[in-house]
Amino acid sequence: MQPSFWKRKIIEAGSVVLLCAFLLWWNPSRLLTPVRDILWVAVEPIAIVFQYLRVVLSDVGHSVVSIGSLKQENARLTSEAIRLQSRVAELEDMQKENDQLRQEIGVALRHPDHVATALVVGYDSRGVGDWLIINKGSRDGIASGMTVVSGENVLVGMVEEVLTSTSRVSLITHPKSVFNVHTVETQARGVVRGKFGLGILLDSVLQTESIRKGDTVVTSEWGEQYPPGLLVGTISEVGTSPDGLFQQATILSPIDFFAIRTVSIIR
Amino acid sequence: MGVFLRIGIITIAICLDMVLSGYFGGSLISPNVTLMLVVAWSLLLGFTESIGWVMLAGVLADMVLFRPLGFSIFMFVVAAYASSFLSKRFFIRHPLWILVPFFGVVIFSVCMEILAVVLFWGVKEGGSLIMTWIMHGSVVMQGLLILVNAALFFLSYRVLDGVETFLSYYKRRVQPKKYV
Repeated sequence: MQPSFWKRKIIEAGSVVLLCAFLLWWNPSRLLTPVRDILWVAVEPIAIVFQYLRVVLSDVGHSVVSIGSLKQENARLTSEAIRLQSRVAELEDMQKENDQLRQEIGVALRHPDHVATALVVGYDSRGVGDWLIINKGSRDGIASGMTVVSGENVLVGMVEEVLTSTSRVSLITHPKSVFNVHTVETQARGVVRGKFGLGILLDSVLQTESIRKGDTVVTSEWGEQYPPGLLVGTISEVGTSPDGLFQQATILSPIDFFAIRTVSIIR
Repeated sequence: MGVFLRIGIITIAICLDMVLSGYFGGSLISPNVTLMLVVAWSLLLGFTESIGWVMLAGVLADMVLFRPLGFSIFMFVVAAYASSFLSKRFFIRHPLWILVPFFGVVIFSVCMEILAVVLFWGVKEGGSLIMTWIMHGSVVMQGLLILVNAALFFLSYRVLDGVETFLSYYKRRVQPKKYV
């Protein structure tokens, strides 16, 4: 082989490596927002079609698998519905009483504002499991830092990057996600951290506080990232931090972050 | 026409990547459709011919998937070069040698993913992520990923072969000649 051949190859490879290293170091995310915007306008319909196909396929698969247990499932759900009806009636009564008391002492209601409902159109394709892409953006009133919930009040994450018609939502399983919480049963305070898409960890709970398996964890009014009272999950395992100073617990979220189809954005 | 068709194929591959990763539950084990497309392209057209499309696929993937720009470009260019380099040396000897460069590239891409995780999350967080990943039995899952990627590769190769044959036929027969 000619030495010039290898020389040319080395120069070519070196240029690509240098170009990519420079781009990664520079990371011109703000500069690229308009380009991303245009690309997403073209990509969004295809992403929605694929997402719809995925939902249809998983629904068909799920129906085929669960056809044998439908009768048992139906009986369980009927009894659950009766139990929940009585619980709803009880809670509605308490809600009225709470509203009345708040009015009397002049404290504003703490219901967060609903901004939009969005369809999930994509997931983190590197599979680290830390973000979702939704089909609502700045034209729908979405802004960076808004809270994203699923269903009624289950916390999903926070809007991190906003384009005109799309936004990227950082999940609470993101390792950089840290926020204050407390347990409903014992009011034990702590901090929730993401664990690389593998779960959520309740950390920094004082040894004097009491936490048990099955306790419900909600966002606390002490933190400023999320509105208070949003459901984070239930405690599945309790342990101690490596230094032995605090209690730690693994939290199970009631939702599967990769099976969410729609989310609500609140302020 | 060829330009739009190829951009369309890349876009569909990126969208598939995006949806499939959700289907696989957000684990690190999800098929790499765009990567396999890029590998198939470099084997079909050769590295020099396909480099432009490989880089474009990288740019589009980074843009659409909210990745830092340069991340996919680097991964795709290296995978395309490696597959093209190996194919030139092994393909001609025996048809079964197709598996050698292919598995080489897949294993290489897995290593790249690990490197990317460390680069993206940092040595401490990325390292602990990989440790958790290994402890969760994902090594076996990686084997499955290689098989899924193998199927995707052959599918991409067949589709692209058809497209490229069609485009060359279109260029020769249908497209009007330019007279100087």
